[in-house]
Amino acid sequence: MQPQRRTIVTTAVNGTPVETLLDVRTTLADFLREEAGCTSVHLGCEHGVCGACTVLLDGLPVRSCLRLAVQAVGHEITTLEGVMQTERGKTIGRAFVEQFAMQCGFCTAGFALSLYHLLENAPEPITDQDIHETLGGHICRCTGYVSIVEAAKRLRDQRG
Amino acid sequence: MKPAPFEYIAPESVEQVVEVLVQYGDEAKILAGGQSLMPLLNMRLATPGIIVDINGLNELSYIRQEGEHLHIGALTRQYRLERDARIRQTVPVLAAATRLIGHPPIRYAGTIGGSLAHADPAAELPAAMCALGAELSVVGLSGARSIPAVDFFQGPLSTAVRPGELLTEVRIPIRKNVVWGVREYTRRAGDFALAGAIILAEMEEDRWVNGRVVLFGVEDRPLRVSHAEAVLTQRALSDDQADVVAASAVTGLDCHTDLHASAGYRKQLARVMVKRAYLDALAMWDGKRENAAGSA
Amino acid sequence: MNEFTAPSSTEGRRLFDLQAQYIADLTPLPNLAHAAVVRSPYAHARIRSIDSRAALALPGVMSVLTGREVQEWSRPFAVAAERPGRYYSCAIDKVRYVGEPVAVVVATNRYIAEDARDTIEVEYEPLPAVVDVEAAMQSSAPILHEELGTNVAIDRQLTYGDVAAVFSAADIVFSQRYVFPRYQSFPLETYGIIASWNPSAPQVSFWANFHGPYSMLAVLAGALRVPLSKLRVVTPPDVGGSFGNKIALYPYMALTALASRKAGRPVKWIEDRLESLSASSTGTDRVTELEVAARNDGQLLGLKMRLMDNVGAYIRAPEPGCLFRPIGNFMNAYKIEHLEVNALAVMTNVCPSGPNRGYACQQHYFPIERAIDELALRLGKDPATVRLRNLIQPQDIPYRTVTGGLYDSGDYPRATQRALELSNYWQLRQSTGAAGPSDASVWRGVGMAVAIDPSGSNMGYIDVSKKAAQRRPNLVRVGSAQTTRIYLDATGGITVELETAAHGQGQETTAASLVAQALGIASADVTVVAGMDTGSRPWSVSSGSYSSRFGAVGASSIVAAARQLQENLLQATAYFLECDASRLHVQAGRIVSLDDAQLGLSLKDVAARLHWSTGTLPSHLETATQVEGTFVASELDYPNELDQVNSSAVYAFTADVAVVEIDKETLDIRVTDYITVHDAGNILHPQIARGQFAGGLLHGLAGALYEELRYTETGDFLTGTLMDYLCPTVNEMPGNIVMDHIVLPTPQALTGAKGVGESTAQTAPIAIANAVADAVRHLGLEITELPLTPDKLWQQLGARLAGEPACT
Ligand SMILES: Cc1cc2nc3c(=O)[nH]c(=O)nc-3n(C[C@H](O)[C@H](O)[C@H](O)COP(=O)(O)OP(=O)(O)OC[C@H]3O[C@@H](n4cnc5c(N)ncnc54)[C@H](O)[C@@H]3O)c2cc1C
Ligand code: FES
Ligand code: FES
Repeated sequence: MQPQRRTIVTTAVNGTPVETLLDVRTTLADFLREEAGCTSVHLGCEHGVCGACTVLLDGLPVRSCLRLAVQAVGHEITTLEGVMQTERGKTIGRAFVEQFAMQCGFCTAGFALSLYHLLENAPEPITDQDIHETLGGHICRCTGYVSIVEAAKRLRDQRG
Repeated sequence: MKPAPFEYIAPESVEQVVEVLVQYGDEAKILAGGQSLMPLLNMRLATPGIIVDINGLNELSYIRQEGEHLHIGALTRQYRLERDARIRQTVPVLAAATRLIGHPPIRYAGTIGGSLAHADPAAELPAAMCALGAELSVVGLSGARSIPAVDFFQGPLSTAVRPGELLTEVRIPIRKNVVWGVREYTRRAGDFALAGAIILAEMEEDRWVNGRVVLFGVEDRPLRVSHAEAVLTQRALSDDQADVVAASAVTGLDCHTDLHASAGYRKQLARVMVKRAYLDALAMWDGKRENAAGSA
Repeated sequence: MNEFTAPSSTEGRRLFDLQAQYIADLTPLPNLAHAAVVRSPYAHARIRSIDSRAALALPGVMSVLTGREVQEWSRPFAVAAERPGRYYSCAIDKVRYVGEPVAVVVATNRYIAEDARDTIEVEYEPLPAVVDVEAAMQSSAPILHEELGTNVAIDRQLTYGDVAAVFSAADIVFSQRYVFPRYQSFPLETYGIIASWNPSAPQVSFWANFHGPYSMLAVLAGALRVPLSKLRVVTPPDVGGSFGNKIALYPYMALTALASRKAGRPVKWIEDRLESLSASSTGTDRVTELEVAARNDGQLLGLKMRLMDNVGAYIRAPEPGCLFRPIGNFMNAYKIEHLEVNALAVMTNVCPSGPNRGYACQQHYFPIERAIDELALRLGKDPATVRLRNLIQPQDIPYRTVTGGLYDSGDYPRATQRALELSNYWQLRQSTGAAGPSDASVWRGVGMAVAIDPSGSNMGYIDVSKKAAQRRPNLVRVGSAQTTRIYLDATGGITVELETAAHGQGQETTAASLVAQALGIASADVTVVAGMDTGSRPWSVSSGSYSSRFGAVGASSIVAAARQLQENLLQATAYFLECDASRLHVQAGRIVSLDDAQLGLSLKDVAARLHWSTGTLPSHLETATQVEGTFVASELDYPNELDQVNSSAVYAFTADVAVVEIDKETLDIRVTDYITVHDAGNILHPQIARGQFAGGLLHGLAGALYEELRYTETGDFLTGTLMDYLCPTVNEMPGNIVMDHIVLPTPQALTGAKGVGESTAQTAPIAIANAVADAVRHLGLEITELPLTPDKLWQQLGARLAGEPACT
């Protein structure tokens, strides 16, 4: 146990091992964007409010701007890049694209990951309130949320 | 908006944490869920010399019942407080208060210990600890000490944790036949409360005993209002009583003014939150009595 | 991604295909260095000295740019104002708002750049500051730009009709002061710029989330002292929103370019949220003194308006647009022929202002629409009745406003009636305010607002800021032009090249469907090239996506190009089949004879022949596979001596109704229902249009109830984080949202489409304010300022709340 300024971070991003030498202060978000090729991770505020940087850490949605990359050691990280390799991810993508649940798209990955988690894990039935709570952790400036809520409800109804 | 340089260490035991904290003194900062500390680091409002990451200490993540007490490890994530069956059964008010914190992604990362150690005056968990009469354990070089919740919070972002110590556990006495209410007002769902209130009491036949009235977001720390607690348990239980309890709870309250609420408005909110929490508790009481009557 | 069953978003597919490219994702050049900006902590101070030695000594740090080089290497930005002040991309000797750039550090990465930023020591001598627009006009106020001797950048008097006469003839005259707040566009993606200063041509290259108007590039080139042709600006295909905010990107483009010049390397700067809130751009806050003259029957006769715009520390183009952008529609949708305006732009120690979704319309309509409610109240009439009585009637259209606007199409009473119907307005009125049940826990209120939504800005309007004699003598007619190119490849493939620098409007989706429709092929068979590049695509000063101009102007240029291609295909087929082009038509991807359905060629065939047999073609077909469609909005003039100008290409209309509930104890304000009816002409894409309406509603809701950029009296900035600046989430949106429209196509655009992007952002703040006013009027409350917060209601209502003793 020694204090470090730089360290080798070994972790699994979307199922692929990544190993990088990093300044320990590097945030998980910057690591994912700059080192792991996950540019779907967007930075809208860097203080935890907007939700654009949301990723799944061991399956749970968390803000990647509020975490250090070194903390990812020993954990599984999934971004939109990973989720899109799954059937559920594709279903989410289809629902968003067909409902026009995005405009500029900057917020979209965050919403999609939180919804992915909800759809994967929530016990039946998923209520409107569950949907609002899930989407409520994300800011979208473009859509007024109407189409995002529609996409979410469609996904809920298709869940089966 | 990137953190200033620091060193990083991830101790493997509580002893090691203490060792590092003692060695680095003021320079060291514990990192738990990071949901309060990381924004401060990113904005460079906090520039510690060394970050002591305690997330590897699985031994601090637990919810255990021991006799009449519930023990919760400091590193237990907030979302577990919301969902854990024992908590929902034995201290449901804690689950309800936790649900009011931010948004799901915040609660997946944030810890109970982090929230308590951070001691935001508007935070739910410190208030819940005060209402539940919890004891907080801190460990330092000279071993562990236990601090009652009401003494733990000393001001905005200020607690009884001394340099070289960390918070390891909270112990909550389990009370039977409890009625409760927790209410807060926020501008947007998930924001820190402009004012909030927790009411808690034990039912004894036709009365309430051991009442607790705790306000948060109104002064510099969670506030137990004993004169309101007296009113809560001494007078008749009725809807009208809600206003009496509420008025009592805010008597002498010295609210602060900030961007979103002036002192006067905040006081009004506190009053209304007490009233609504009281009415929730009352409804719960009615429900329980009906149930009891039904099953008898 | 795989197949889609329904029409789907091209932009969205790219996103889920993981192919999106936002500015922060780009590394278009090798050796990119990263910038961090040193910013002023003071609202007003003299810069005594800057010491960068420690910064330069840090490993990884390349350079520090300060005001000294900025002054030497650049000029102040041009702006249409009488007394503009000298605005550079960086403070020179004085800072004038919290957040103003003071220096730029360039280093190997952002972390190190910020480390270096924090070591730079700037010695300031604080000066008294002023942030209030009226205070700044006092002679005793601190002066921001000493050389001007005043903070008033513009003071224009405009008079239309015979105002004195109608005021003296009026049955009722009243006046009121209204305050419109300062809030932001708040795109989720902040500013991002990569700039490379080259010793050789092009002299400065940019990659930036810039989206026009491209006239700003002329301002930028002027400031950088390079010919416009030596700038190249690339906008990536994906831009994370703007709503006006990124129109004011150019000062930072200048700053990043100069930082690159200093560093001798390409430099990338991504603004962070704190910078964006404090120092990017914001909607203009305004105090209006309004005087209304009317008849007892509710007929409006005339208005006098004193507009006091707080443009911040520097008046910056496209300001003073907030004063003059809506000039053609100054009277909203009402038949009022007499108007007097005193337009003032005042500089104070806060962040410079700029466009914010609905540029100026919400500021302008807020007092008018509030006053109409007030008038109705005074006359004992319903606000809806008074509005309906004064609306311009369909038979009056096309209607020339007294300020020069040409309302091209519309049926305002019909749209308004529709909104009243859908909202059940008349019935609701029976139970709002004092009429609500006394045992209810809330006060309910219903309010409405109507708005002319101007789109396709006629940039000539800006010269109304000058007196007629000082205008540019050789400008006669200004225009609003847009070009689109379409290519037909050798296999019949169609590629549309967008020149509009879209940023979330779904233009690729719409472009593909417009072209597909024209050629009778599937949208999926049309490839759209997104983004923008001034180095390779055609553009003019009015290019870009702003002032909701895509539907009317941008899309019309696509239609023009598609029609040209269609014509070329007919001509080519006529040549190949040796028949008459006028007897051919395009159908389902084939060019066929009207007389003999068997006779025809497929698109693919024609394309192949055009490409492979170029040498044999007649000259008019040699370039038939490449077409360029240009659309120039007609009827756009230059301000005349009477200060009249048709400031927009087309004018849409919106009528909205909001229903609110106010908790009697917490004073929490909820918008429960929101009904918005649009007359936006032809709807090019229903889902995209709906998204724009809903987004506009969110934006307006934010301004009505949640968002405000706040400063202390001495100019300290209070809303620097998203914990303080409250962008609404899904949970704050109205539970019941009804979006409807009527269709009256505009003759001014090939598409028949009017704007959809800004309208609800203009009406929502006002409809909500009117609804709140309705809910609390019986308590003696007057609503004259936004945002409406529970705390503000408390300030007025507190003592009377539910019989409670007043808390201090
Ligand atoms: C968008 C957003 C919304 C939020 N909304 C709310 C809300 O509504 N209500 C609310 O209460 N909170 C809210 N929070 C804060 C959240 O609850 C945090 O999780 C919590 O305040 C801190 O817990 P943490 O585990 O994340 O601690 P960290 O951020 O890691 O640490 C916080 C502080 O506590 C110290 N610390 C942590 N653990 C220990 C320990 N075991 N012993 C001693 N010191 C320790 C750290 O050194 C640091 O000073 C919000 C946060 C965000 C980003
Ligand atoms: S960037 Fe992480 S929450 Fe906004
Ligand atoms: S689509 Fe632009 S922020 Fe959500």
